[in-house]
Amino acid sequence: MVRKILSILFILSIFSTFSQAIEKTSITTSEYLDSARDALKTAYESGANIKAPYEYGKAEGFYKIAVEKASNFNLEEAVDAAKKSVEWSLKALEKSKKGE
Amino acid sequence: MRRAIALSGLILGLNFFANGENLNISEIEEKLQKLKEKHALECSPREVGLLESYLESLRISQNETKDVSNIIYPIKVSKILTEIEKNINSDKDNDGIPCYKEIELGLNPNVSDKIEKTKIVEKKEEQKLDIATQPKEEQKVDISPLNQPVRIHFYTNSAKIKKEYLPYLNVVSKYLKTHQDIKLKIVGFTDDRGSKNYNDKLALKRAKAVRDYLVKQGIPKDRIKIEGIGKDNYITSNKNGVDRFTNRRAEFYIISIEK
Repeated sequence: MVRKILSILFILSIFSTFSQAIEKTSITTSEYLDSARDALKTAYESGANIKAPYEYGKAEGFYKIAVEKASNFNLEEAVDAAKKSVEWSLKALEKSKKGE
Repeated sequence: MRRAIALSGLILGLNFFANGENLNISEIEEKLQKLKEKHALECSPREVGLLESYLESLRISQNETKDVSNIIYPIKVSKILTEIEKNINSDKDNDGIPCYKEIELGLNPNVSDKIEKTKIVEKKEEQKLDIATQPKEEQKVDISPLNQPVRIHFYTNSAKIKKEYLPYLNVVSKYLKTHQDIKLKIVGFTDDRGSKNYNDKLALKRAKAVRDYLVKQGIPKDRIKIEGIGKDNYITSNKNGVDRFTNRRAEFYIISIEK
């Protein structure tokens, strides 16, 4: 139970730092990618890949796209994809928590 | 001269490669739609999610920029499509029925149907034993599940009978016609979403829809009783779409045997 609460708090903190960073606009592409990866990792650890596979698949897809776009120096699209990945990771996490 | 010919050949070849792999987005969407109709979302949800994210990204990059992703993504997308197709036709629980067929039949693709079948056989044997040991007078009233593999499943928030289930309902009506001495009880169930009051009504509607169909097939209305149980007696846990689909159902019970 404590683990679950901690994981929810963790993802919320990621989300709040993420949205704060968006406001500041000084955040770098690699930071966006880190946030997306952390969110995806938290979702995976909470079992979202089994309990919410569709949402998890979308988050994973957007994360891969973000990495690929960044490696092609297409930074704008990389940031957009990273944001979408965080969004879908949150959805996956939410769904997996509801299912318990 | 030779160099110029070789260079132009190389350029043409590269162009051909790029165009050849460039799958049309609408074609992919059409393919995905067809796969969804074959229960891709239930059989291969992760891959459908992956594919949709790539599709979304492809749509944006085709409108805005031209980069390497326009060549790489279609290859990835076609690979994922193949993966989805494979998962739809796969038999995860090794019971000989492919995933999409199990969803159509209202079975759980992750639980072997053999187990369910053996349970039914065991139940039948137990019933036979009970009948043999019980005195004949006690056989007049008996409540037991119908010994036919019939269960009707419904879409979310709907009491409409899906076309696929009509053959199974015909089996029930045939059974009732050949066994004039029995009466039937149809019980409707729902998944765990929505209020209790609404689900109770919906469950009754589902049972009523099935009764109406059987009445149309020539079964007298007084031989069929209906009940709506709603949010209760789940078969599975309601954790995902497949489980909720399994729980949205109507079941059949024999409620009296008159000698």
